Amino acid sequence: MSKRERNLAARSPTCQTARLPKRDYILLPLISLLTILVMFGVSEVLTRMVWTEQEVDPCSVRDDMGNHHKANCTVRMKNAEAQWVTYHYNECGYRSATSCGTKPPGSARIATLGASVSMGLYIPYEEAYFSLTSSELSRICNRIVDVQNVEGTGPINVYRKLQEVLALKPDVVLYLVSPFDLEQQIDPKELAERDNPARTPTKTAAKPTLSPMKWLERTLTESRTVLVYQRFLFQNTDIFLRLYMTYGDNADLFRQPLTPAWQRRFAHFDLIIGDMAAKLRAAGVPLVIIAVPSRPEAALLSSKQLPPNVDPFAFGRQIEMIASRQGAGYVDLVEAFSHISNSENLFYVVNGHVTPEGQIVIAKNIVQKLQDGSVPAFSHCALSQSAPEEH
Amino acid sequence: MGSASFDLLAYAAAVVIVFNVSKSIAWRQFVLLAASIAFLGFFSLHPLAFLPLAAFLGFGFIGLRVMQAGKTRAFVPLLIIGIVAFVWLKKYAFLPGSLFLHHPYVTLGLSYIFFRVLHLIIDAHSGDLPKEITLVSYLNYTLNFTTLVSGPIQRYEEFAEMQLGSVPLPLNIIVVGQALERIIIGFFKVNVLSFFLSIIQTRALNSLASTPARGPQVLAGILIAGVYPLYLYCNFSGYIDIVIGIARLLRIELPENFDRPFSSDNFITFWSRWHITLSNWLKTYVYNPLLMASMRRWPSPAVAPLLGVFAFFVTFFLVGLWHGQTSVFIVFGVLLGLGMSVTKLYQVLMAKWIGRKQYRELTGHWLYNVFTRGLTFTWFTFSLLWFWSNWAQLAFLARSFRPREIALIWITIFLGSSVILALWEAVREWLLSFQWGGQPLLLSRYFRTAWCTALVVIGAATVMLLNGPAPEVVYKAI
Repeated sequence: MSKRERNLAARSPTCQTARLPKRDYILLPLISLLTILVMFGVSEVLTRMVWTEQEVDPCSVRDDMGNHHKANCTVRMKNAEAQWVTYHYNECGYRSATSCGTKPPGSARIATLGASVSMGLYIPYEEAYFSLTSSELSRICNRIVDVQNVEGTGPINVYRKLQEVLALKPDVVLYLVSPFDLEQQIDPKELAERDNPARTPTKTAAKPTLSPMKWLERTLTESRTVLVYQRFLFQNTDIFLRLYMTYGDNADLFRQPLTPAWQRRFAHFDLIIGDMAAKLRAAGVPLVIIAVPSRPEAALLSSKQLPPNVDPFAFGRQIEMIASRQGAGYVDLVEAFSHISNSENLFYVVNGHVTPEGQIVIAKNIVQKLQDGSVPAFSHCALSQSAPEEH
Repeated sequence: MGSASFDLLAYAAAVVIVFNVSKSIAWRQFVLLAASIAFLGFFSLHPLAFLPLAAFLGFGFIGLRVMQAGKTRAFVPLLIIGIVAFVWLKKYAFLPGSLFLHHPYVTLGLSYIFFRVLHLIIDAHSGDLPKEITLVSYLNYTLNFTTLVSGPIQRYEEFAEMQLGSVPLPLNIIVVGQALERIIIGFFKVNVLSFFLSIIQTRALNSLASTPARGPQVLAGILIAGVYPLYLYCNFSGYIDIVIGIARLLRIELPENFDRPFSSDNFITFWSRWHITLSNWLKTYVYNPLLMASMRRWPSPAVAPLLGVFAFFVTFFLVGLWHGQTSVFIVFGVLLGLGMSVTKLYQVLMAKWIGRKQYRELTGHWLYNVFTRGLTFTWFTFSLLWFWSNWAQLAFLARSFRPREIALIWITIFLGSSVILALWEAVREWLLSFQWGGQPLLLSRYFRTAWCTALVVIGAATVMLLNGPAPEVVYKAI
């Protein structure tokens, strides 16, 4: 043996001579596998115990008109990040404490349209913006102000609820729109047939064919451990924003100039709002569009250093232009959130919905807007009256 | 390419496979050189950007050949040229800006190439190097992609023994397993531990600006200063773990760079366990020659210990200076130098005052060790303030606290680190006391397999979540 070889042998004697016992070729991979299973199992059980979730909604119905809820149905649900919430739907299937029947004499009625934010998803009824708005306006205006929460999903689905809304004889229609309501491109065929829902059959989810990779992906996506870990990581705004801005199409909403895909989305939205405004105008009902920011947008608003060509106000500006062009009122919540430090904390970290604290901001700005004289039913209410306090 | 990313691991995996196709020296030389040059190529697409680095490497090779040719009169000028070229290329702030090259160029790895080049020139001058160092061997040694970014600094003889030997280091299943274990541990340290520690420090820094309450301010101060050494350790030693693992798969055994440094009970021991290869390099090429020269100049045995104190100061002042180009690193160097020299002086004086035996007994006492460990950590933490911040940040930190709050922060760090490190040592000892099959259970192959699997799962999940898209709003209920 040469000197060099002796040196090498001395340096790592075990490596030179030791051999792996045959049983270890089976045992070691088994230990690895078992470790992974135990880790996932234990963490999943623990996280599911602490961050409970129950989102199966027996009140929900999906048909040609899209999503809606069964009449007089009550369900108690919980998102992992939020508290237990009881959802009660009135005789029209709206999340409202009052009846959807003829409004009592002397009272005013607001109809709200929009997706999950509009229906106050994950928020107890009394803490939701519509409830706060209703009680505050009732107090200020000295008359009962009732809110009928006519939910929808995407803009087409919301548009198709218009007849239902008009039947309620509301004094004003509020349409709450968030960036994620517009992320999905509207099918041009569906847009053309927006007045004929029967001609555009409901898209039923195809039974997924689960390849092993898909199964793994779905398991990880559905994993409560992953959700809790995401929640922990994305509380850090820098990390959250860095990832969101690498998102491509969704994040392009905040990049200037707008991409053709986003221009197309806004053009479609403009078309729908135009039709909605015209129909409501014909019925003498004012339409107010409310731009509700998303958590990434709020994080951008409070960011000290914006990435180049990024404009967190882009969404609000586009919605405002559409509202102005179509003769609708407008509430700029993006602007309102920009005056609150760390306004991204007014959203749940992973599910992205507005928290009860954020509901107060929404209600306050709606109350202010409804008193500015543009909505006759509330024009007599004094502007000097106080709105709900921001926490 | 991220320094401890999936990209690096994928690249290394490809290199390892190609490298091990043949055991011939020429093949190993060729693949390592190609891999190292390609690795550099990830950092710039412009060939001109590599010109200064290439020139420095060319200077090193010429210097090596000149020394090997026995032209000893060129030795000092070569050292001076090498040091000046390094300082100039690294744009040290004390040089006028007008002297610098103004087009962008790659300096990645220059700090470590500098050490390797000086080592070759000095050892060639003293005749300690093998004669036959070809350009390819030289480039492989200086540019080896596993040690280019952050070391460790390997001696040429050791590198050549493994890379140029006709019988390469063995690569059996146990070696592969051990190498993968190092990579996994390193990956976890960098991508999980150091990541979360950096978040804690950043949050504390941000809260300092936004929290007016004094209690949370002091807590933030403790976290800002106290967390950084842990972050640095996880980040740096983690990267070293990764490259040691990768290099071993390339049949190269790199020297260790860390040996549980926070277990050290004095600053001198600390630096023999932290960035070990840098300390050894400086001991060989700065401390020893300086001490010898001083002892020749002042040969009295009475002053010899004080000369050691002086040599320690100079050596570690240079360590501090080497870490950065701005004036804060002068203070960093002074603090490191003071830490080393005062420790040495204390050891000399204590041995003199209470006697060597009593001093040895004192240093063996557990309670003494608890506090000296805490003191070592605290001094290192304090010195690092001038490592990770600039003057503006230091001024902000100074403005944020009242003098008694500053005292409270440092006393808390000292006492807290004393207790935590003592607990850590005790827990570690307790865990290692469980034996199985004649060795500690924690070191058994089965436990390590389970442990590494857990680290892989957490590390991979973290990296995937941090590189995947942030969650979209979900309409589960609608």
